[in-house]
Amino acid sequence: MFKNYLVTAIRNVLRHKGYSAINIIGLAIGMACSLLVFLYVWHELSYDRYHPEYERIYRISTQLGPEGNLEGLAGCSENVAGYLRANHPEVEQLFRVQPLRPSTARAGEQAVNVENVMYADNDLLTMFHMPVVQGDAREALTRPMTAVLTREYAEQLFGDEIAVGQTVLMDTTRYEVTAVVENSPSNTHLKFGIIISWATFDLVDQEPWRHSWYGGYFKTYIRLADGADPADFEARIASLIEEHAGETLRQQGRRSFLFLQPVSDIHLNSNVRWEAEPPGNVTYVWILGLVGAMILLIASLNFMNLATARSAGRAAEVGMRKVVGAMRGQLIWQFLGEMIITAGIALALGLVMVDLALPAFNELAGTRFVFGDLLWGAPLMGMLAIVMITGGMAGLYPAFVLSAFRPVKVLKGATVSGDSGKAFRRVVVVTQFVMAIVLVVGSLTVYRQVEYMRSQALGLKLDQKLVIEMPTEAVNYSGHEAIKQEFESHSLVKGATFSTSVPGRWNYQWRCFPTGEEATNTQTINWYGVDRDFIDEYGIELVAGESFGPDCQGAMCEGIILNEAAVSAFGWPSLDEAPGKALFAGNRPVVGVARNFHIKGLQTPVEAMGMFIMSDDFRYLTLSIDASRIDDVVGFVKQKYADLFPGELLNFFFLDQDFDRQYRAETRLGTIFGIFTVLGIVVATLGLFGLASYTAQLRTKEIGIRKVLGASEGNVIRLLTKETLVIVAIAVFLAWPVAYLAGNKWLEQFAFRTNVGWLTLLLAASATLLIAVVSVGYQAIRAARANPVESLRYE
Amino acid sequence: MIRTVGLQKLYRTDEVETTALDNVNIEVKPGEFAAIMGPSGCGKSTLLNVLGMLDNPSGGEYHFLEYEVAKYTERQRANLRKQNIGFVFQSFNLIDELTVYENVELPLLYLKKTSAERKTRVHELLEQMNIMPRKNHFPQQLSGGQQQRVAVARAVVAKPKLILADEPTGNLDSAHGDEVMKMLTDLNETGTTVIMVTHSPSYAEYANRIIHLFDGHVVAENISQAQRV
Repeated sequence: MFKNYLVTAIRNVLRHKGYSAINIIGLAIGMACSLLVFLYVWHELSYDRYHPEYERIYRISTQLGPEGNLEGLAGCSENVAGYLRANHPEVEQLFRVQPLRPSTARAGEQAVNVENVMYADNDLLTMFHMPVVQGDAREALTRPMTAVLTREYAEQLFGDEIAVGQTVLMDTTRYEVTAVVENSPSNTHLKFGIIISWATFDLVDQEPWRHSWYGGYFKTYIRLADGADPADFEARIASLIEEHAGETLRQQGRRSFLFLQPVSDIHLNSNVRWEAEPPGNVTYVWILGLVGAMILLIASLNFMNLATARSAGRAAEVGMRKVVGAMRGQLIWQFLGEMIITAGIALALGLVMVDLALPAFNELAGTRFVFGDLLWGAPLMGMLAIVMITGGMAGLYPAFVLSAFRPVKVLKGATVSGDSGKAFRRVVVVTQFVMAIVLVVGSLTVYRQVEYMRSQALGLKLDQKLVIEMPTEAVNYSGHEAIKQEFESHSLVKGATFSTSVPGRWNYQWRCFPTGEEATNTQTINWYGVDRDFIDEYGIELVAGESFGPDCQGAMCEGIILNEAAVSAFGWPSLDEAPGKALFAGNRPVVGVARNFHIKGLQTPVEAMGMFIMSDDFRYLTLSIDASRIDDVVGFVKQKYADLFPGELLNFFFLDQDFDRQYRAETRLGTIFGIFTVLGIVVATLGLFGLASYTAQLRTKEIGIRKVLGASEGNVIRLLTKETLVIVAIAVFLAWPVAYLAGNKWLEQFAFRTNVGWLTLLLAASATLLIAVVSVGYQAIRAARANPVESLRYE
Repeated sequence: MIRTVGLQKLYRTDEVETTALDNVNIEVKPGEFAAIMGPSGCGKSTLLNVLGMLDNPSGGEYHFLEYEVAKYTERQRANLRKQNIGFVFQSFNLIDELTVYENVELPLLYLKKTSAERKTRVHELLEQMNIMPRKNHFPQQLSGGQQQRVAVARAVVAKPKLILADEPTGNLDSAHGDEVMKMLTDLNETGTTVIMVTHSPSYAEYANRIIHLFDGHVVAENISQAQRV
């Protein structure tokens, strides 16, 4: 019997190739989109869940600040680790991590730039899932001057040779390679390139601040013993800082508490400063999840709609099967089975689409999925569920309604009217187009917001800036001007300036309060160390006081320039009052105030920041260039750098492009959203096209008669398109408030934002209406032009 | 085989009640070949549908074999029908998605016969109907006469006690019509009871008995000319 059903299902598909193609391809697209979205959402939700017993792993973070204005910091003071080891046996294991700046690693003739260099305790290798490729994880990071490499760097530095036992040079320090581990997967918030033992850190940095209870924030991870209550543990350690440094904190008017963050929560739910990498955005994850679900729903509704409409033509077959002995239950299983099989064919096609689309999707989403990622428990079950639900729903009408027909009805020549189920189909089309319009509005809103952020003036010049990352400690105060002059020697280089940071990159953050004021007025300030040319080169406008004077150099120049946001944060009533104030116990007088400028993307408000004349850490050299001859400039820079820093690898970037990474998450969201929106429209339109074709076919006789009686082509076209246009218009009016509210809700998170304007709503509605008109109109015109004689003869 | 007492069939809409059959009393013995004749709209097909348990009578009694089926449920009628009755229709009513073989096989599937049994029986009938070379063809690829042969094969594949034929020659030319009538006659000679609705007096003569209907009543019954001879 099953073979009979299978044969009938396949032959039905082949017999009506056009409709079958529309149906299957539409559903396949929906399934492919939802599978890709599932991969992405699963990836985002899976961060750090692959570590052994991750449920018991926590990061200890700190809340610090004035009462009522605490902010979270991703880490805690180093004393905490020692204290926990000594006094809390429920802490099974513990490791600390301290990121370093990117470095150049060398082995023999090989050199490579390394991101993600970190100091770490040995327990990292056993607490986190880090498969060892060479060496022994148990003691790889216990001795000073030892390092563990990830596979990619081991291969780049040592090729096929065994790296363990060899030496790697990082900047000017040699380390013995004690192990090689697998590369960090993409779904971890803590990615490693090269790990240096914490014992090395203890050896090279014995600054007293490291042993302060309230300073120095090292990322500290613990694994609690099985059965330990994390809430209870957190409550017992929360006041640890206040117990040991309470007096100092009170003098500063600050409170400090420790709290636990489950390691699996950090990527999407952490809202603290100083994360190792920019966290994910849980809102975007859910938005994309919703988009994927909507497209699947559009496709599934399509599938059900068209299958239901066409099943009316199977009434004769149902009648005959009953005559020759089919029971109703057998017919129900037949139709359900047919639809599930068809949905299964769509799934197979959808999987092919996924396989083909994966490389491009990975590029877009910054992921590394392979097709095999879909072939396990949850996605497999999900796929099967989609097939069963979609196929089952599509088969419901023929299964339960048609199978109930008495055979005598169809044997008398009565057929099921094509109007049967019309109300349901209208509701389905409206629902589909409401979702499609919401997707279009959402997509346009994301696009407009990104363009808005990109187009806003930042308050400083980023264009035509080439930034060179200097080798560590290669530049000092006495030599930095000479280096600038070397680069300025080319006519295409208009200016140069050193700084500890550039917009879009990491910068120092220090907490301070105005000298002579209460410590309760402590604020977190972003700091740039700069040279005298920075303000002019970046086009920063001063609105009070003055810039760094010509005599201002190195340790002799203690003056600082704050921005307007810093002045406001300190609560000074006017900008003019700022010059003359001082920070850091009087050691840093404020000499001027700069107009606010953005050092981060426009998602966030302008933060308080300050600039001081640097005496060390000459990290970035910014060249103002003539960008009309980029190749010449780059060629010059490469040559000059090689002359000045022989053997050092050159890292440079164009500042405006680099700053654009601030909008990477939104750009990515917008692109994925846009692509999926287009696909959603395609699927909805396919469905409409199929239905329109079917409706025109059903009404062949009616159209023939109308034409014989005098109807023009225009009359017929209006007859066939009117209902669809009304349905889509209803969808527009239902979709507008939903899209408007959802769009504006998403925009609320941006400090600087556009809005969901009437033009966006109109554009979305117009585009959707146009697409609907074209797809239905094509069928209507065909039907209108048919020869009525042929139509009536056919009938 | 069949006995009806006061059989009645009414069709009701909101405004109109139509009597399709009224006080129909007929009896058909096992092995008989009965023809039902009458003008269009007299209730011939309705009577056939009721006899074939495709429709329930509105009143009266209907005895099929030893069963009184007038009050049977749909399920009970379906079970009785598939084991005992085969149908042949004017418009053949083959299933387009199935091949000749599969169309003929279908009743046996619903009777849950084994694969071997089905194969043997279907091949036997296809040979008998001289349609074996076309067993893998679809109905659209056959002529009217061939389709009707397939339909007859399907009707008899389960060895029913009764064949109901509703205008079996209506869509065929005379040659093919004669062919179909010969098949029905041959079946009847093997003991299968046949009741046939027809407009054609000449085809009615193939039957033993002709029942005349008019406006839902049996107005006459007579032995066919062929039988009288």
